[in-house]
Amino acid sequence: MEGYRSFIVFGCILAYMAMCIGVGIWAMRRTKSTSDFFMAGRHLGVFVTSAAVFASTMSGFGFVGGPGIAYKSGTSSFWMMISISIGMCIMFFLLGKRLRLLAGLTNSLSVPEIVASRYKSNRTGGLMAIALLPGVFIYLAVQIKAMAVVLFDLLQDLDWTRSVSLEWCFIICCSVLVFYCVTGGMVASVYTDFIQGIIMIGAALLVFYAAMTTLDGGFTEMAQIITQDDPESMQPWGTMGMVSCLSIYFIMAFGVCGQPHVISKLMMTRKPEDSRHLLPLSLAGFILSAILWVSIGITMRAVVVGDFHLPLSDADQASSAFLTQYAHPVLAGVVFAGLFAAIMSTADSFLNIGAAAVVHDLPKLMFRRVVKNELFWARVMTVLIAVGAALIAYFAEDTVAMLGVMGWSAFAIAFVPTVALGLNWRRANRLGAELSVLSGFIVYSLIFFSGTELPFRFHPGAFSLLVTVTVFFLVSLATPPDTIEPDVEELLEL
Amino acid sequence: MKYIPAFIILLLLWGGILWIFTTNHPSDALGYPHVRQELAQPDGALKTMMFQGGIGRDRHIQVAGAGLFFGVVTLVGFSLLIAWGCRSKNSNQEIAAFFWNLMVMIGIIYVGAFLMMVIAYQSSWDYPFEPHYLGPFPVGTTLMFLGICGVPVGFIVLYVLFYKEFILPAKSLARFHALVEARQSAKSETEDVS
Repeated sequence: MEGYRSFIVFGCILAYMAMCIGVGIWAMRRTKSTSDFFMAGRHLGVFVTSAAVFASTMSGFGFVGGPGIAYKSGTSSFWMMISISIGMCIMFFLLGKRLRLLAGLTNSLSVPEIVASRYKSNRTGGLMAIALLPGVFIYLAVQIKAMAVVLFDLLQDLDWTRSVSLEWCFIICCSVLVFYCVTGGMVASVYTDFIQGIIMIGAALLVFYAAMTTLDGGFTEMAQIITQDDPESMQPWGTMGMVSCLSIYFIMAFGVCGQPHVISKLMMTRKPEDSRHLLPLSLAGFILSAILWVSIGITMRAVVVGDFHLPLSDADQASSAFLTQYAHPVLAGVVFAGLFAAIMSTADSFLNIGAAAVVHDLPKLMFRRVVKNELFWARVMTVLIAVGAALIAYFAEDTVAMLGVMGWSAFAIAFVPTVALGLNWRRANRLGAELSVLSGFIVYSLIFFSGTELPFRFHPGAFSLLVTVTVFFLVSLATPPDTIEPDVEELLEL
Repeated sequence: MKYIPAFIILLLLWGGILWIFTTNHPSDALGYPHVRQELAQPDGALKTMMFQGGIGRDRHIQVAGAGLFFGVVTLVGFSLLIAWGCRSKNSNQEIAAFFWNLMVMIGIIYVGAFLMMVIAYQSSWDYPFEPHYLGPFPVGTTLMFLGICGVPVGFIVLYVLFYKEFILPAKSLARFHALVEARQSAKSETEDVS
């Protein structure tokens, strides 16, 4: 069977891609309105939504970037992962109920529309739609880069595909992604998310077993090998150190409730009370699939420093190197399919959110106009955003995980105060919301573009998020409260 | 008065950051490229692909207090945010004391797990190559997984068990449906008139 490894892996991926295309075509028939395209008609069940929530959170960032940064920096990487447990708690406690209630009351299709309804201000909602775009491009670039890197590694294993360049891998990945998203929209996304979620969990558990048996002594031996090479790599703060890890924990945990691709799923459930079951199911799915992150990350660092495996020329190759070297061919095929599944589901969400912002939110909120033939233009915009993100991915030098944290930070700065805090605090006003977003982006851009490194590599996203929250709080308190719709006001207290 | 907890948390977070930023920054505080060149930058690599952390005591001793302070305030802040999200004007006041006691207990365990992790890590400074293990990993790392990642499950248990009492009481849900109906009928009336 080993002789056919590459064919088996490719077979699994092609079967998966074919399934995606099939679902896309099936979903296209069910997508009759913009409500279907952006919100899946708001009639999703608990299991489908919870799979969509955790699959969107995990993504290529977790499946490719996570093991990559664990290989590069040891246990520092795991702070990104463990932050999600408290992050999901914060998200559901603050937004699980309120977002769904407000979406139900105002019939909103997107997070910027929710913001416009909450603050009774189209300008604030429009600003959110604009603020959303940088994060969409960066995070989508993460997904496309992860997909292209993995595909490129896979193609190197076959004689007849070895000449395919990385550029072509970007083009292939972008094309499949665009077809899947353009045809199916959110309906395709959430229904394949359910299957994808199951694949991801199954794949992670099988990888855990494969990783454990890579060395005779299992994870204990691996931890000892890493410790002998460099004790800090296996201690809680890893190579990046205490402050850097804590700042990443801060931005990742607090930032979950500002991720539009995740929180928009909370608006799609059939009933408001479904959030009760969504939280445990989503987190269980995330933790089970995150086992892959830990397993591959530790194993690859151990086998490389223990001289059982050649060093990796790119840390992001950790997942593909493990799967091609240490996993059974069928398992490798399933995991690669799971990996593509994770990437596709998240990328699809971003394309939908980005298209909704440009075609639906901006014209409606900023110019009080509705685009004619909105569904058609949403599909056109999906293609344009995907191409733009692919270009960013191709020219970006950062690893998948670090790009991912950057995109995560951009969303957190824009949405944590305005949405997560604003939906829970009646006193919050539109001036506070607008100034907080502007100040956060200015601070983040200044740090980022000036190349400044904060002391102890304190994450600029965490610093900027704290700036936005502080500005939001102080400005809202210092200025008079807004007048908003009475029913929205009452809903904030329910 | 009701904004004082938020003021204090924000103030403490900024205080923690100020403390961190004014602390002396050792040269290897953030790790350095692996001492074996073939691992740090193998053939074909454009930049460093593997880092090492070095000596824990040397890189952390100066910032340990500030880091611990920032970490504790962060965790307390997260616990308060979660508690804040439980507010509902229709919550069940009969079991409120019981619920809030549980909430506070989980918050304390969460912060306690963090403190234990830091203590376990710092106690490994004297024998870095032979740390105590708990399961397959050093004690500090295991506590990171079980404590920092595991304890928030307690909040989830409260969310599920007390959902109808504190998160979305039946009275609130009924009021929501009434508000939706009222808005829809107002909208249809407006359309009829126009």
